[in-house]
Amino acid sequence: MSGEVRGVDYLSAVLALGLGVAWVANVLYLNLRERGPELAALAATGWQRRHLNRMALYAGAGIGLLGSLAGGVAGVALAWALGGALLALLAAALAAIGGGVALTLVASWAASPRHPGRGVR
Amino acid sequence: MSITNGDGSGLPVSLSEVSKTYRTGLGTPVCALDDVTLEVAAGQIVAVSGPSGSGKSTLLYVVGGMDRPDRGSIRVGEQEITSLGDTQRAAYRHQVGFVFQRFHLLPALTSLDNVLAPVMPYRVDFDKAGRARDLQTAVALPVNSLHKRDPVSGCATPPGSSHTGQLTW
Repeated sequence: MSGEVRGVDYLSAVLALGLGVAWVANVLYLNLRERGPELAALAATGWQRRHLNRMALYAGAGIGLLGSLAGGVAGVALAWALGGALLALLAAALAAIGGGVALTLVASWAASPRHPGRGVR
Repeated sequence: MSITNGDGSGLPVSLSEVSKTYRTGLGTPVCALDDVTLEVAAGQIVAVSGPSGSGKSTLLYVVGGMDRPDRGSIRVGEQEITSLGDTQRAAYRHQVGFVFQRFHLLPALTSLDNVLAPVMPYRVDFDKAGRARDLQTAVALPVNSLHKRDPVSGCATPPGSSHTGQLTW
């Protein structure tokens, strides 16, 4: 068995990363959509979009960060044990964390109500 | 509907040719407001009555800054509501007291936190929790910040009940 990391391995890692990040963002988006009436009630009392985004970001980033850290550590340890390139793997782990936080912002922005009157009827 | 300043004095409300059309889930347009022109003098209390679906709630939502009319002008005091951006409208709503048809309590929050919710993200120059407790006491609500479900959330608004709104600056 060769310990060399091939281009196709990097491609697979990037694809897996992309799917994981998209899945996290989708779950968060659906979760926020389900809570639409609650977010609308908060918006109706004067919460601004940045307030709602911050709340969603804290929740999403906290969950995403824990999951990314756990997955990242496990993935790096496993890859290291199999003889992978540590620097590239660390970069992938950091990209997972950064991508998760960034897409959390996008998801919360998309799900936050622009017209709270429709959500509180 | 009445508009009052924090000091109890009134603010005039002026609507000019305000229209609002919704689309149902099937895409059918429903005209809720059709060229509504209304003048409410400072300190005047106005009751809007009509059958269900006649646009009473929509009228209050557009005056309360929670929805945008398709066209027309709405002035509250010196402020033109329809020209405000999203952030400015949120700031306007923050100054408005609105009585909803339903309670819209947040089930994940305690009763005290539900009272606190409007000022949670804002920095204020008073004790938020103390003020919330005072408000709960003033309306004889049990101040029990540990209970997430309290008797308030068990109440129900009767179907077809009137929609009352009060705007307070």
